[in-house]
Amino acid sequence: MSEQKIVIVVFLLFVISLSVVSAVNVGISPATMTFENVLRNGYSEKSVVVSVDSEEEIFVSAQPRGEIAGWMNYSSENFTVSKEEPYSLKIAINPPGDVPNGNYTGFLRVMTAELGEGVEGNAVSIVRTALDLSITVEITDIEIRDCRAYEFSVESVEKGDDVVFKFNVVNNGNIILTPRVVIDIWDRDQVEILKSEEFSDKKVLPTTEDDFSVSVSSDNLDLGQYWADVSVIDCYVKQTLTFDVLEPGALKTEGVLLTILNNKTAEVGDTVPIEVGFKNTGEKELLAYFKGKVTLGDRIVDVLETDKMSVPVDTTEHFNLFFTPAEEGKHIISGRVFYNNKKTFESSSVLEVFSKAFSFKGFLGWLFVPIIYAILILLIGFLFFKIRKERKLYSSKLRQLGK
Amino acid sequence: MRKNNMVFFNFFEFSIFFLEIALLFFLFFLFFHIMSGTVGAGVGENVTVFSELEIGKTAPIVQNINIEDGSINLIPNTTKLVNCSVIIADYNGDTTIINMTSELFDNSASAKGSPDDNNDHYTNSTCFINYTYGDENTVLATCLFDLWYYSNAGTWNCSVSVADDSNMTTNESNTTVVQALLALAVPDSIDYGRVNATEVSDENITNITNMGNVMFNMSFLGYATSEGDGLAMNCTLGNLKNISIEHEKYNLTESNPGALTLSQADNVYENLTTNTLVRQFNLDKRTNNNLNDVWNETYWRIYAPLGVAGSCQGNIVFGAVQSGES
Repeated sequence: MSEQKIVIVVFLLFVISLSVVSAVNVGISPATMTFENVLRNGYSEKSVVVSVDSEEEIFVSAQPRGEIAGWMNYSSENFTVSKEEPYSLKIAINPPGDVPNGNYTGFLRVMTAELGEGVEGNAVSIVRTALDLSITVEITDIEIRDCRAYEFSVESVEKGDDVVFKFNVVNNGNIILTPRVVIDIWDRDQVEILKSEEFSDKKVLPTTEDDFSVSVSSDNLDLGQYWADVSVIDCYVKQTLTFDVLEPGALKTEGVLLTILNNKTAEVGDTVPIEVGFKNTGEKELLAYFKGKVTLGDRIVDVLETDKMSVPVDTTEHFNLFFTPAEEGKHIISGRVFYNNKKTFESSSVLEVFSKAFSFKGFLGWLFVPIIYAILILLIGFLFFKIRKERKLYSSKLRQLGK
Repeated sequence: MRKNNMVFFNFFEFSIFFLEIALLFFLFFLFFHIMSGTVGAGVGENVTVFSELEIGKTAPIVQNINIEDGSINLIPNTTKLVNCSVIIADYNGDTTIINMTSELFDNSASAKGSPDDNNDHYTNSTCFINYTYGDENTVLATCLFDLWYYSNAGTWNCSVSVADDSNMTTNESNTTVVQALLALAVPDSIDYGRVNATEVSDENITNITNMGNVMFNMSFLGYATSEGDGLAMNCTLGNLKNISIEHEKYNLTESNPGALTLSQADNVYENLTTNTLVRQFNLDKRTNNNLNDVWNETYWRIYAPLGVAGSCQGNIVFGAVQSGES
């Protein structure tokens, strides 16, 4: 009887599980989408991720609905998706030029293909799963200019090759941007601008990101290290980079000042150890040294410099220095590592110096050694005196005996 | 002779006295030399200082916490592997970092230290530490979490705790967004079985399950071969060979078992339509960690008119749209 019950329970659980679990479960994320501050005749794009729990590829179609259906474009109308490869569907909105300001709504229906099959002699409805992504578009007539530039980079080049500066620009506004890019190339000591070029030829649509690659000729640049200020004027971003112009076939020399490490606080008169980490990231061994300064406010209170040290490829070496603050206050320790006629970016650290706190115990401790020393010297002096006195006495006795 | 002896004695006395004074001066200045401890050098002189830099024990520094680049898209009916990736520096050397634990939780519904719950709190006590990453002071720690599909949508916090071998601990956190997941599970088909002409089928119970993390309403539409054809099914035999859309019916709330006539069915079921009609359904997300008990039954019947026979087949689109209550 109990076995029968178990069989019935197992059967019921099986039936329930069949009715609950379908072959494929499809989902969209996020479930709603709002396009804010879109201009008439403007552009805005976002992405929705379509995912399934099936290992097999599932055919999915997308279909716009509602009053904004005519404004909507998407990256693909039909696509496949599996558990391992969710599909990121890009949705772009292009509102017409004659639409009034306000909020407009619609849907993007994401629907699976028919997965079921008919049964001979039966009436069967094949079920298709659809997910409606609710979309709201806010139309405005206020232009917004907002962008961000990041991931700046440049590689060293051989003489004659173009120096290629790369970076990304994200347009967070609602107008098409044509970012103005200014590149100033400085000499090794960053004293003189040797070359300045301006570019403005690539468009970035609102809500999109694009990578930029700007080439500057190295023809009139001698061999050596250079610094470049890359300014993306529209985004109010400037980044300083460094590159080398190398002889053809030359090995690259490159190093990075990793850290200037010191205790964050000290007392006046303390000897503060400073450790500078430098890594050789180039292709040949470097002879490097650190040169820097300690400043207090606007004043340079000490100059720091180390001996030259050999740094093998792909290793980190540490330069050790010491500084004894004579005044209290916020000291800035800054400097660069110089190597093979090149220098790293400047790095800095902070040292907060406090006046020595008075401690009676400390004061006694400080007095203990001098007192002992003074007593010792007095004792020696006293002994000398006594010896001298005894010797005089002994001499006078000898003289009396001689008489 | 005596005079000579006297001169010799005075010279000897004077030498001793001079040596004594010299010794005292030497001891006196030696003291200042020892006590001052200053290091000085004239122009062009080199000074060698034998000193050892000993960095005191410093706590690990969490430099960066990245959680799936700030946005997590869950997967229906299963887990999503989420990586809370942490870059840590310890200036006593990266090997001093010995342990890292991490908690990922919903900022509004849970907190650090709360018990684990698939809805809002996950813990990883064994984050993997990659010591080969970066320089000798830096490691990359990987804390993985299997986030269930019904994890709350919203802002989540990845809170990490890093300990080094001197028992110094650093706590840091960063946030990410778990996106709303709209997902449902329905069977692949509704089989009404054999239905005689002029009769209404038995009631078919079809479950709809929430496989996401947001509440949703349902919409339905039907067609035989293409959307808007006005038919529920096409059949293989009979002189009519199709069933009109209004003959397929549903009820979202109430079961009506037993045999029904067409007019009785019309009274208790809604007709399927060719256009999308959104119905209030408010199927909430799962919250039970052990059992998915969140599904609603829907009840379906079809009427076979005179003139259809053989096998009949059509399509129903079950649409879900996030409901306002979630």
